[in-house]
Amino acid sequence: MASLRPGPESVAGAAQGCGWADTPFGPREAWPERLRFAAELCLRSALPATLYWGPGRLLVQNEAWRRAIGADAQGSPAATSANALWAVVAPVVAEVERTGAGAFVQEQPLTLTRDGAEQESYWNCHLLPLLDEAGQVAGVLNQANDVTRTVLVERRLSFQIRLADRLRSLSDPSAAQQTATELLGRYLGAARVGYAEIDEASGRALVRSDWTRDSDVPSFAGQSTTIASFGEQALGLFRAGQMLAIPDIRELPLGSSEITAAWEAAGVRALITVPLVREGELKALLYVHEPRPRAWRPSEAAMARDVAERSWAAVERARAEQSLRDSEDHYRHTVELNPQVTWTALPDGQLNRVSNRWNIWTGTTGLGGSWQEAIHPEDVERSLDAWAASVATGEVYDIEHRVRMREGGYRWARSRAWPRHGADGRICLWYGSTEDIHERKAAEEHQRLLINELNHRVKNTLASVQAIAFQTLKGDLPLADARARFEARLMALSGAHNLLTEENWGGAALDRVLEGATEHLGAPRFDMAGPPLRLSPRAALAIAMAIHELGTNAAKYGALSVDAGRVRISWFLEGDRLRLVWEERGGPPVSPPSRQGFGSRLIERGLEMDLGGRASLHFEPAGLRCEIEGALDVVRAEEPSIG
Amino acid sequence: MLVAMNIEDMLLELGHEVAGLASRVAPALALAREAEFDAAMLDVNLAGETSFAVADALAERRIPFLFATGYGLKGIDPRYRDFPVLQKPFRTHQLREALARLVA
Repeated sequence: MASLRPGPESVAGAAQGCGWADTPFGPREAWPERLRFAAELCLRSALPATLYWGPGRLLVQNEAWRRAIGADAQGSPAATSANALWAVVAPVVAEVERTGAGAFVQEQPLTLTRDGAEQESYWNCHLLPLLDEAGQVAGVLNQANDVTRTVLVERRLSFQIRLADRLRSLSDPSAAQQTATELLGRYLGAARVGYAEIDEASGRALVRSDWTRDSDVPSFAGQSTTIASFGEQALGLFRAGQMLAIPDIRELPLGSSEITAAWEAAGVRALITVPLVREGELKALLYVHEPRPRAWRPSEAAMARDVAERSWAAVERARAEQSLRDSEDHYRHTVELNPQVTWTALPDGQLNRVSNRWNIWTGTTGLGGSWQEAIHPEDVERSLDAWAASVATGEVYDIEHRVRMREGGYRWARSRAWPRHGADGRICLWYGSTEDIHERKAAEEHQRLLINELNHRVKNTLASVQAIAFQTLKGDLPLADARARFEARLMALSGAHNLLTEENWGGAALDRVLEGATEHLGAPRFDMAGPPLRLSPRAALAIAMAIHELGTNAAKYGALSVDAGRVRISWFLEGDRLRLVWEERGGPPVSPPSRQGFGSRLIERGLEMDLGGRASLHFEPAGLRCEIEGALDVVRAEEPSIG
Repeated sequence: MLVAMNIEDMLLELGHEVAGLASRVAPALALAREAEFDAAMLDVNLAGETSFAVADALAERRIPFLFATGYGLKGIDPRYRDFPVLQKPFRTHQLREALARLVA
């Protein structure tokens, strides 16, 4: 800015007034004393000063005014002034003329053209009335004071405070960018302010969002370009962390016409670009654009740099916070949605963090040592011992135990924990998980029972085979007969097993058991009648073996030993009893055997035991009759049944 | 049934008398509490139930007994782990030796 203090020559020249004669004032010698005095005040003022004299408000301007604010023809009426300031002060001048009291105009903005570019400036004006001999206001002296620097410093300070306040409260990175660009744009009165984020790896610049003064200025938001399009020279400066402030793109000293044309095509004539370099890498550019040439003040460029640094720091902080939030959110979901209970424990074994699932399971927190309250009493000591051992030795903790559930009952769980060691090798934290393994345990238990049951059945079957062999071979039968008899009995046992296997040893239908046991004797010779009944495995085996013995006896000595003979098997349910009757008809005359054989023992003793009832053989003249009675609660299969 | 009958025969062959036979827990308990006999043989599984309640009743009367089982030694209640156990099927001489140990 030019010096406000005029040189002595110009003052002398103005005061001597060569040339006043050609103005409406006329020759200086003819001026009234008061005008001469007023003109002296004006012309000799160190501040830019203008005198508005007489009813026509004829102008007298000192040299400082003419240089700083603009020159009008000396002695011309103020109304014809080309100076924008006149429009502002005119009403105040009128007020001073009317009241005879001085007045101020403060911090009046004024756009001045300097070096071909417009510049904003601010002025304080002191308006002083000058009276004639009669005490009337004859003129008004305007002394102007350039307060641009003070106004800008104040504005910058308040802007910086506002920016800091706004950025501090923002936790969203894009909101921080948006706020900073908007505040800077309004502060500079710029057309467009934005951030281009640079990815050096892909060589591209991307504008996520930017601020524009009004809808006439197109936004660059969402646009992307290659960083090569900035030009090698500019890119070199940016990477070195140097900003650019270009008043007019057309006057770039070394700019290629291509780059200039590209900027102009984008509607940019003046620009400020601030690079943000982190860890030696260009991360972003803050840009300020104007569609017209603009002589950037050093303070404006400095402000752009300041805003870029501050807001980028806020963006980075917000991003770090968001990343932390995302990470915490991720952790929380990992923990809360995990079907297992995850927990951590301090080196002394006290649980300091237990996921909410433990509470859902047990209704307790599990913190500290309270987890043991939800452990089955029989498993507490074992769990505590194992945990104490792990805490003491650092060995992995792995134990199965039962957990008391909130809604009652216990479920099997498996708890495991691994130690995390610090840099000094000591355990700093235990990471644990507790998993519901109830279904697995139940399946294991079920499997164990099945295997036991299988062993039991195999052994019992072997014992049955042993008994059949023993009983068949202990008589004095010829070997061939004994072998045939043994085989037949084994096959009867096997046939009953087949029926039971079909139903996984849940039971077998009585009629099918009877059919199976008599099949080899010819079905047409049997009459069977009775209600449906499902037999328990034990009853099915016993009845199958008994019917087999009866059939064998009938084929050998009884009704089935002759062509006309028949057998009728009928059964009834009477209250809680099953009654089954075997009746032979049409056979040879019957006489009781001289001694009790295997078959009759099996029937009379064995059925009694296995059916919870009794059985009797009646050797009647018309044919053998066998009456079998069993308790239904022993005979009937349980429903439903599994292996 | 077959197996019980066979054991009955074995016992007779060894010169013993059979005082009673039961295939379910309730009648077995009645025998254990009231019948007169010198020794007992218990199948671990009586119609789907374990026979340890019967063992308790026998122990109370200080009547010696042994087990016969198809479940193996693991199927024996820990309280009776020291009692003689015959694994089914067993031979006559194994039964004789087990009984001899009982009475000794």
